[in-house]
Amino acid sequence: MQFKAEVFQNAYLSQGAREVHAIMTITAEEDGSGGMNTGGDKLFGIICDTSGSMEGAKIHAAKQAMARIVELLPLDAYFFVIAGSDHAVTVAPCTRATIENKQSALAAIRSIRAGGGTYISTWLSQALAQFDRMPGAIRQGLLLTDGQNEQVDEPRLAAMLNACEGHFQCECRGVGADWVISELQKISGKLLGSTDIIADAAGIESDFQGILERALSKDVTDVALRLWTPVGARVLFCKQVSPQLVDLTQRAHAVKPQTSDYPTGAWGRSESRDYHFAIEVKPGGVGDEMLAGRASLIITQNRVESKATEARILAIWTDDEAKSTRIERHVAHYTGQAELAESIHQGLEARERGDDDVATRLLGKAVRLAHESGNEATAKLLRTVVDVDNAREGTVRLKSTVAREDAMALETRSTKTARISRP
Amino acid sequence: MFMSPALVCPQGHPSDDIDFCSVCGTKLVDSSTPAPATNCPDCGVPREPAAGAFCEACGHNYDTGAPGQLVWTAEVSIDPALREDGSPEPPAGTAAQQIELTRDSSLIGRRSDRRAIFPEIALDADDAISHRHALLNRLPDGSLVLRDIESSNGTRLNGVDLKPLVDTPLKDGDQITLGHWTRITIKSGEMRRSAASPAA
Repeated sequence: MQFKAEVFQNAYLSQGAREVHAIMTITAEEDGSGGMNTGGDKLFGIICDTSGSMEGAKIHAAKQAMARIVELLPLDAYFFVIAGSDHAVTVAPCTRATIENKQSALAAIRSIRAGGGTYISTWLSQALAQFDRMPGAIRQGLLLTDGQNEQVDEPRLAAMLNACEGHFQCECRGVGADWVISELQKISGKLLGSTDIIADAAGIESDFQGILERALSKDVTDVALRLWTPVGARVLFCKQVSPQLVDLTQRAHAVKPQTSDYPTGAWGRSESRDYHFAIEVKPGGVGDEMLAGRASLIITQNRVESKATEARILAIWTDDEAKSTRIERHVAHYTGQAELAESIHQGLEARERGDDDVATRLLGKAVRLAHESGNEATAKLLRTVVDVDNAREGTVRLKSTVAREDAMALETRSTKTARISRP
Repeated sequence: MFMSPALVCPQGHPSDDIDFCSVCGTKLVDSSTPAPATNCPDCGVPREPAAGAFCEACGHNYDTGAPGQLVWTAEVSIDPALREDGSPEPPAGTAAQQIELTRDSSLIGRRSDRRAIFPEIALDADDAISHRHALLNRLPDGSLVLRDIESSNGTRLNGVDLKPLVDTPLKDGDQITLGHWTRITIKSGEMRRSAASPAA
C-alpha cells in the first residue's frame, strides 16, 4: 500500500495578505508492492450500554447485534465485549475469534441483563485495558448507549478520554433519542470516530455490521499528518473536510518547534480523505515566494517513524489582482461545506430555543448550500426539518412538528461532506 | 553517510531542505531567473522545474543533453528444477542475487584468475558454465541483447536453445537458463537518469 498527496490552492496573495488556504487530498492505494507493513492483527472491541434504561427492546436488539458481530468476525481477528452500567463487566476478554472463543462469547452475550446507571468512564477504562493488550494491532472500538452519562462521572470521563487518546479508535452510536449528541461527539472526536443516531433499535444490527466492515478494511494504523510551518507562522486551523468534517486544530501535538502532528488514525486501501489547512504567515513583498507549509504523512510502526508522502503549501505575493483574488475551487467547495454544517448546527440550536426567525434563515441558508454543492444526503435530511419552497434561493418554512430523532440525525450527519464534483 | 554542508538561506538561516528554508520558508532557488519551461527533446514531456536537471519521464539530462537510459537488472538464482540427471546437487539456501547492468557489455561466466576472466555476472558455483559463456550487451537505443559466445554447454532463452554468436533482443521477464541449474531473470527497470559523466 502506498499514499499519495496532492495539494490544491491558489498560492497567490495580494501584498500584505497573510492567510494561506490549501486543500490536501491524501489517497491510500494498493500498489501490490506490500512495501508498507500491512495486514496486521485487527482487534475489534464492543462496548455496550447495559444500564437500566436499555431494558426491553433496546437491550434485546443490542444483544442480537453483538452476537451477529461476533459471528461475522473473521477467524484471524481478535475481539472483546464489555457490558457497561455502574461499572464495566468484561463479557468476553480480548481473544482470537476462533470458533470455540466465539461460542463462549455468544453464550456470555445471551446472559447479559440490563440494570444500573451510566458511568461511561468505567467502560472506557476497561476497554483501554483490553486494547492495550495488543498495541500493534489495528484497534477499533464501538460504543453503544441510549442515555446520558451520570453527572458525577463527567470529570472522570474527561480524564479517561485523555488516557485513551491514541490507544484506540472508537465509533459512537446513540440508540433512541434520549442521549446527548455533544456528549458522544466528545468521545468519538477524541477517539477519531464518528457519532451517529440509530433511531430505531431494529437498526442496530445493520449499523454494527457497517462499522465492523469498515474496521476490517483498515490496513495501517497510527498515521499522523505532520505539518511544518515557517518561523513566525500560525496554524489557524487544520480540518479533515472529507469524508466528514473533523476539526483537528486542537489535536496538534508538537513534535519540535515549527512542526506538529495531527492524528488521522487507521487507513484502508483505496481510502481517500481531504484536509483543509489555513496558515497565517508573515506578509511578504510583491514577487516574494515562500513555503507556508510542508505537510507529510507519518506512519509509526514498532516505534519507527516513516514518511509516506509529502506536499508543499506555497505563498507567492503578487500585485496582479486577477491572480490573488481567485479562490481555488477545492478551497471554495470545502469552505462551503463547513459553512453548511455550521448553519445546520446553529439553525437547530435556534430552533430549539424557539428563535424561529434565526432558525428559518440559517436552515434556509443550509438548504441553499446543500443544493449548490450537490450534497444530496444533507439536503434530504434537511427536508425532515423544513419544508423547502425554493432550494436555490434557500426559502424554507420550519416544520411545525419534527421528530426528535430526525433533528438529531440531521445534527449528527451534517458533518458528512460532499466530495467536490469534477470540473 | 556523507552530509552536504548546510545550505544558508538569504535571511541567513541554515536550512535542512534544499527547496525552501527549513526555518523561515524563503525560497532557496533564485526565483529571479526561473528555469524556462521547455519540453524534453527526447520524449516531449514538459520540463518539471522541481525535478532538477533530469526529465521526470525519460531521464534526459538537460545539463549535458545525454539521454536517459533504461536500467536493466539480472536476477541470478539457483533453480533446482533445472537439474538434470548426472548433475551435482545445487547448493541449498542461496538467495537470489540482483545485478544491475551498469556497463554497456556484461559478461556471463565463471571467474578465472589464471586466465584473468572476471565476469560481471560471475556464476562460479555452477561448473557447467563456461568461463566466457555469454554476453549481455546494451545497444545505443537502450535495449538489451543476449549473445551466447560459443559456450560449451549452451544457453537457453525462455526454454529455447540459442544459436551461438547471434544477438537476441531481451525484454522484461525473459528467462535465461544455463549450466546445471542457473536461472537469470531479466528485469527492465524504469528509465533512469543518465550517468552523470561518461566515466561513471
